[in-house]
Formats: sequence, C-alpha cells, structure tokens
Amino acid sequence: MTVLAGTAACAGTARGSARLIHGSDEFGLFQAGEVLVCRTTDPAWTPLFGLASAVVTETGGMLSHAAIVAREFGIPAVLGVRDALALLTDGGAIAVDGARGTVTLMDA
Amino acid sequence: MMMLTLHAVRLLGFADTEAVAARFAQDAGLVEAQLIDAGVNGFVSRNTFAGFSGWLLSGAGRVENEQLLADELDRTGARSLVLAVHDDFAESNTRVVSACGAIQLQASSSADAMHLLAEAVTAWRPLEARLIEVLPRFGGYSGRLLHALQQAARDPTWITATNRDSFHRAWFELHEDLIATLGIQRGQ
Repeated sequence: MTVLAGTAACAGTARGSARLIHGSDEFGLFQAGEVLVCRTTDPAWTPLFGLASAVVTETGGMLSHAAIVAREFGIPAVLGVRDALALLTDGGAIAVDGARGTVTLMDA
Repeated sequence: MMMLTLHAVRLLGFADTEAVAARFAQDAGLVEAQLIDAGVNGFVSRNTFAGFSGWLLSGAGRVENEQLLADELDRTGARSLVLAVHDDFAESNTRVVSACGAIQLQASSSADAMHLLAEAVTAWRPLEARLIEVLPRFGGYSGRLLHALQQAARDPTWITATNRDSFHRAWFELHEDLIATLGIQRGQ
C-alpha cells in the first residue's frame, strides 16, 4: 500500500472515498462522508468540513486555519501532503490517520 | 457597489443575501439585484449544501473580485500601505493561530494564549486605523475581535467556534481580506 505523509493536524482516523476539490466551482460534487482533498482552504470551505469524514491538504500545517477548523469539527486532518491532488485518485478509497499524519491508498 | 458585493461573498465564504448586504451595510434589495447579475455573469452561484443555502463565489468570480480590488488599490494608491500592513499581520498571524490551537487543545498555556490574542488585537488596532483612512471597508475587525475576546472570558468556545463570529472566524476573514486585496494566493 502507498502511504503519503504530512503534518498530523487533528487526531483521529477515517476511511472513505477521496474527493479531489480544486476550487469552489467543484463544491457541489462533494458528498457527506467523503475525504476532502484540496490544495488549501479559505472561509468558503468551512461548510465542507461539516460534511467531510477527514481532510487532506497540500499546504499548511499545525499553524494553519485549516487545522483550527478541522479541530472544531473534530475530523482527522493531515495537512501539507505534497502533491496530494496528483497522487490521490478522485473516488479512490483512502485511510487518514490524523495522529500519525498519514494517508494510505487502500486501492493501490 | 458590485465590488463590495462580490468581496462580501468572498469574505463570508458562503452566505445568504441578507448577510452579504450586512457585511458592508448595503441595501439588501440592491445587493440581491447585483448578486443575480453576478450570477448571470458566472461570478456567483446560489447553492445548498451541508444544510446551508447561500451565495458562493465561483473561480471566475474570484478573478473578477481580485481585479476590482486591484483597481481599487490603483485608484486609492494604497498598495504599499496594504503590503506593509499585511507584513505586520503575518507576524501576528502565526502567533494567533498557535494560540488558538493551544486553547482548542486545552494546553497548559491557555491563559498565556488568551493574553497573546489580546496583544494581537492591540497590535492590529493601529494598523486598522491606518487602513481605514484610505480603505474604509477594512473597518470593524478590531471591534469584532474584542467582542469575541470578551465573550471568550466567559465561554472559551468563542475563540475558535465556526457557528458564530468567534475570534478565529474574524481573524481568518481579516487574513482573507488582506490576501484578496493584494491578490496573494494562500500557501505562497
């Protein structure tokens, strides 16, 4: 299995389908229980955190707004995963470990 | 004013017409008409998800928003001022996010973190005063941050809650305001 590493920003584990969201134009594609995978977030993304089972971002770390918002929603967060949007497949099954800071591709 | 309407949607992220209008004290009827026009141009869309309904800025709307803000900076000659303010803000931002995290995680340094947030507001107030001399739309952040701190003295959830105008929500919005105004991408 392929394992990607990032910053452990909010503890907890979750398994789900990765949903690659490149911008607000794609918000409507996101379904409850999916893992939000994106480059970065801004205030518009906050409602998605309420639907997501976990969040994976390419930028940011412990000291980022995304970490704060993830903790508010109590969802596992692994941030600063380099090239996550290129390495993860939209709809692919992944496991997120927000304590270890790992994202495991279950299909690979 | 279309610039303020699009910018309000950008700052609020996802909001109904009343909230968009209230952000810059605009007339709700006028704002509704502007949002419909903006929707026709593909700059915003009305969405429902996660139990919320509201307006969302599209990718094209984000580009339009930043062009209008750039025009504003050129018109007012405020670019160097906003850049300087952003630099000072960035220094505080790391400490503020760290303090918010410490409070969320109930670290032993929570009391120190609350003190640090108060210091961040004190540092921001003169920056806001300088900004609003040329860009009045930056007014109000100090008051919101202070109000959240006062509420947090009784209820610490006012520091990072997402369902009210918490300290982090106002600070996050301020950060978005500065980088949108300067056309900076997050993570750069």
